Amino acid sequence: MGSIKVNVSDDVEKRFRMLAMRLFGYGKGALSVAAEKAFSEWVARVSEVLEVVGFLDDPVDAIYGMLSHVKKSGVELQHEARKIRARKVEGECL
Amino acid sequence: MFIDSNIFLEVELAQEHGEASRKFLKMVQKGEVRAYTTDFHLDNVVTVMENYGKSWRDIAVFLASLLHYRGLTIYPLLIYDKIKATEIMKEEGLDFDDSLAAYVVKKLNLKVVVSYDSDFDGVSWLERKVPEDLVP
Repeated sequence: MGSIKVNVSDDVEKRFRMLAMRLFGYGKGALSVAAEKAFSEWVARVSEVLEVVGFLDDPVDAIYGMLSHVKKSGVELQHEARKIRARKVEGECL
Repeated sequence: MFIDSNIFLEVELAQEHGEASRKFLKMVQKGEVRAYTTDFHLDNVVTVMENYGKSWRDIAVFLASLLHYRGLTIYPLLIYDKIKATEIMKEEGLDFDDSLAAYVVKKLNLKVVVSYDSDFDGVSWLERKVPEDLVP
């Protein structure tokens, strides 16, 4: 059985302890059961997703310039997204 | 603070605000800044990417890049949140996208929205900042 010591915010610690104990009892091991479930779920979800694209060396640089061929501002594009959604809905209604 | 869609878009555009937005997102990625956005605002970015011909792989890279951010929490919007956001549409005259952002700012007591969209400037209970205000 492995052991992991982690630091979390006071708020998360408080809510985690409360929920773990209410679900798994006030005896020894309740926090470990809850933590094992949380860790396992995170590992499963992230592993599955990383199969699609793998690890990124730098997540910000990985997206930098992806739309450099578009000569508009971010705000213009964001407003355009609304129109694109509206067009799609219109298309679905026709 | 709340991160609006246009900040991610500015990084992808790599134009006038690209460098400041890139530096700001790196601060969030390293956990130097704690920030929130929503699944809806990320979907906006994906919608634009798809519209401008980006491949499934580019979209996957954008979405997967978000997993690497130490300081970013993605707030999943429920139908209840969306209904509540319409109150802000009515009270503040914002469009639906901006009302959702403002709603999350209010709900999570964040106070600041990071955005280049000046439509937020008329809302008295939040402060709009741009990455240029936040990066050293």
